[in-house]
Amino acid sequence: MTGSSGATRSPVVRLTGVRKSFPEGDRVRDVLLGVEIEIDRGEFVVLLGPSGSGKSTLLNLVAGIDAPDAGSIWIAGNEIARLDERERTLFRRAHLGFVFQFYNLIPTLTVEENLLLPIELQGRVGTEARERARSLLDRVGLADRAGTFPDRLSGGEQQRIALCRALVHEPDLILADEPTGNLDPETGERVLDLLDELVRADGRTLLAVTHSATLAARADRVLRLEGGRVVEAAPAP
Amino acid sequence: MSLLGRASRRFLLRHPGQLALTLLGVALGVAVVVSIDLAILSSRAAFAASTETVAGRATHAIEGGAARLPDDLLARVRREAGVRASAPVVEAYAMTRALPGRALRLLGIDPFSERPFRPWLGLGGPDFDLTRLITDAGGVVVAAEVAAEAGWRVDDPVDLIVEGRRVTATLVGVIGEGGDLGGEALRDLMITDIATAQRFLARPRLDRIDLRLPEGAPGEEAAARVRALLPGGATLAPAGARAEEMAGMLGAFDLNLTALSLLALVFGVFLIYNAMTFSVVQRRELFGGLRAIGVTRRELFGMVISEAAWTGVVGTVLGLALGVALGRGLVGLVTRTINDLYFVVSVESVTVTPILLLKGGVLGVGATLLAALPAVREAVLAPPRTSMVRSLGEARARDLVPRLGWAGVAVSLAGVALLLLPTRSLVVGFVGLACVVLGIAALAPVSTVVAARLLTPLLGRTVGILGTMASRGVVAALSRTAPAIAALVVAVSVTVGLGVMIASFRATLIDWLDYTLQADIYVAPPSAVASRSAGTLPPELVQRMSDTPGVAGVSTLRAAEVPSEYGELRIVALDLDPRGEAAYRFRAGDPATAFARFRAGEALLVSEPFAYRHGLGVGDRVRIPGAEGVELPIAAVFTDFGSDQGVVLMGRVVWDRLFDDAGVTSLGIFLAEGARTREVIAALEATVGADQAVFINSNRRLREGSLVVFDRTFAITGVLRALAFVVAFIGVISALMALQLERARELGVLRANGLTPRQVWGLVTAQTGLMGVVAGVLAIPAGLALAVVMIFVVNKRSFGWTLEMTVGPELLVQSVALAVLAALAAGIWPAWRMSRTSPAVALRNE
Repeated sequence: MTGSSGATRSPVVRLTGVRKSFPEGDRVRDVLLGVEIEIDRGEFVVLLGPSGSGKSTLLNLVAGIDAPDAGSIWIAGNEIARLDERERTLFRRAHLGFVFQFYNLIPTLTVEENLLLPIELQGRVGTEARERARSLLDRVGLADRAGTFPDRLSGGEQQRIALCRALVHEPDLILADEPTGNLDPETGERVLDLLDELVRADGRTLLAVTHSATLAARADRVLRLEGGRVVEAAPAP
Repeated sequence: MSLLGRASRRFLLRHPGQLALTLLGVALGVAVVVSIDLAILSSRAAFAASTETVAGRATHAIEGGAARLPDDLLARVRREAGVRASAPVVEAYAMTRALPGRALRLLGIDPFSERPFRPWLGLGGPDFDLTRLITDAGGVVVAAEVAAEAGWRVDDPVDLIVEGRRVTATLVGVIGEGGDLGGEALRDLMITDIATAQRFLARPRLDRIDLRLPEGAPGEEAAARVRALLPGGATLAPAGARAEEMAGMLGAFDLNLTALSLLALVFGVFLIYNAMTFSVVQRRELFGGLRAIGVTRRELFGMVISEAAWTGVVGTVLGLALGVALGRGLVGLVTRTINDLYFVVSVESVTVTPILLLKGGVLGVGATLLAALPAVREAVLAPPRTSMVRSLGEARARDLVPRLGWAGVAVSLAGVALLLLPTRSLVVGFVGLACVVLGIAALAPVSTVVAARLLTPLLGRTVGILGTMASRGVVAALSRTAPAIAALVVAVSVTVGLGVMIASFRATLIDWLDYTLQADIYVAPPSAVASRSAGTLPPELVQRMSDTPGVAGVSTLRAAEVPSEYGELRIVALDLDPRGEAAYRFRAGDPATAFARFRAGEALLVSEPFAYRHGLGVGDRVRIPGAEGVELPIAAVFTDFGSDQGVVLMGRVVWDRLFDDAGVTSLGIFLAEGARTREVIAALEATVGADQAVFINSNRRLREGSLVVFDRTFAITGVLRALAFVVAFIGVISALMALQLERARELGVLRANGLTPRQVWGLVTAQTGLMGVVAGVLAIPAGLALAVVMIFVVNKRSFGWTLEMTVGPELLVQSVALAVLAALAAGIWPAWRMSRTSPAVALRNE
């Protein structure tokens, strides 16, 4: 397993004093109570925590999908809370890649088109992009399914496509939300192998939210969300 | 095409049922509007074409009114006023067995004066011998197409009924294509020499003299010279003024049809709204995902609005084609009503103009985009989340319920306020009506919540947990169920409301016929237009009829349409048998004195529409044009449904003073004690000579005939009502389908837990039935309001009639039954689909 030593010391993600609460009926539920995180370029970080601890909330904040009540969030040198809605969307498009628990592929686009979508959104579709998409498909062993629609694929295959989609536009940060939560252990393991391989091979930064000990075992660093705060967990054996 | 565009196009194609419903909604809405427009425009265009053919290039016309013009006036106009370009015209309607159901416009002209006026008649062309038209007694000419239709060949005898007189003409030639005006213009024309026309009509007078006056001051001077020569009752007016006035009669009729056709479009909009919203809701998670990976709101907006635009364009194109086809069918219904009520018009082909298509196109695409806006908004506001719970959206919908309820109350009250405004505007009336009905429809969500709250315990006790689920399910998916219920409320209230209006109208009419048809037998010459006078019966015949054994008394009626300061004025001169007085019920005026003053020729009676249209009442004076002209006060205003343009009644003495014309338009015959109707009719028929065509009808047959005309008049209303209901019904199906598909997973779980397909069927059906009950109950006040407004506001403002509203408890039953049946019928397909879906598929589809 590769440690954090291989990464250059420039944080891709920096959260300081991030707080978030939600109204719940008449009460207010505090979910995050001053979160501090720093993730360096090339790091593979896993965030653990029990259900309802605020993992997904934190992920949404990092993605710029939700805004914090207090604190600041820097991603690739941009303080995203200062961006307006449209700027945040364009920022996500350029700098982030997503892997969702339920794959969230576009059912009406073919496998290849799903991969080309993030590139087309940036207006840079061309031969090079197509080649990159093809090579990624090749690396996950699905090159022969390029023209297939997602609903013809198994869950594991869909998640492999989702991995490719998250990487195809070479983002600064990949966010993964329970990437194996919907897969059987064996398939999950294969998907994790690919995730591990693809992320590290390209020197990408990954923040994954999970319950899975298997995933945590592959991380450079494991964080734990407890009582609204993030603490460094003991490295996996 | 961009990948987003491709994804969206494939989504539409992958849901063909949904796409088809949306397209159908757009297409039907557009089709109904276009077809009505087309029918109205075509009948107007045909009327204009035939008027133009007849008026020709005349700049002015001298109209004779009821007394018509003396023959020598033409010579004086030419000699004394110095107007050489002048042509005499005698006009009447001719009917023939060879062309059943059609009336030809018999135009008696002087071929030598014609050339500057109607060159397109092609008189003197190679196809026929002009001299024969002049020299052959009874020579007539028609368009080649008409001759072919009737099966006439040149030299064939042609049997005609011209204003009640049987005559035999000879076809001496055919004319061509109608020149610039086209064949349509000649389609209902029959041309003859003026002397022949006068002989046919046994009336040595002219109906009109067409003039070509120069422009500017010389023209005005010539007009002044002509006016100085005119006998009393005759008028000089720009050509076409009368035709315009006649076409103007159709204003309210057209507006009512247009309002009904727009209703279909409103339902179409609802259907599109439903379908578009559903297609967005289905993709809520997808949109959330797209937003997460960096698709901007603007891009999502573009994607969804393009879907709507494409659907709108395709649906509209289909709708335009369907509308033209439907228009061809409806034009028959529209022209038949115009022929029954207003004037003769014959439409061969429908006139599809670019403007009409453009209007339909803009309306269709515009309505689709408008209907899609809430869906587009929902898509654009989709939060960029990886998952989203539906109940959040529903919570938002439930928060809106009270606000929507209050808005409904406010809109209804605004509608009532509009209706109470002291205006005669029909448009304001329709807008007020729309506000009231839509306001009540806006109460659908709050009523649903209340109904479910009341019914849940009841259903729980009677049906068990499934009953509770059915009732709660309706509220849980309020954002789906409420629009469907609202649409059902509007559709049912329109259907029931219009039904009540028509039934009330019919009941009022039957009541009116009961007292207005006092005589036992009616005699009149056949007429091309039911509500207009045609020919007259000669006084000798009237006398012979009065002397027929079994006849105890006779009322005579003489009707004429004359140009006047009130526009075309229908005047009726009555010589009433005392028993005939009961035929008139007064809305204003003193019955005790009114008839005495009326008989003495000291006062007039006017019909309610006439009084309403011209804002006149008892005591006001009305000027009747005639040889001398006379101005008399109104003694009473009476109820009349014979003409929406209004009628002025005068004693026969007044007529005789004004006009030198002893003819009688119709007779009402009272039988002697013990005389048998059938026998007297046979005796009367025997007194009529072979050259006279008359209809002799018993009281009963005339009443039946009137009701046939009434039912025919409302046939088109029935068609439009049905079409609007169909569109609304499809909308409800699509809403229910959306609701059930959204609940596929929930139903899948239930199936997995042991619910039988039959129970699923029952659950879905219970829900739709419940929705039907709520809609039906709400439709009662809405339908009642609609009926009240149609009867007391729209009818009054359109036609000046006051109808008695007839509404019984059946309205209540009808509303609820119709709504429940419609909801259940609309639920059959969704229920069937959901009960057939395997639980595994339903669960996997999540």
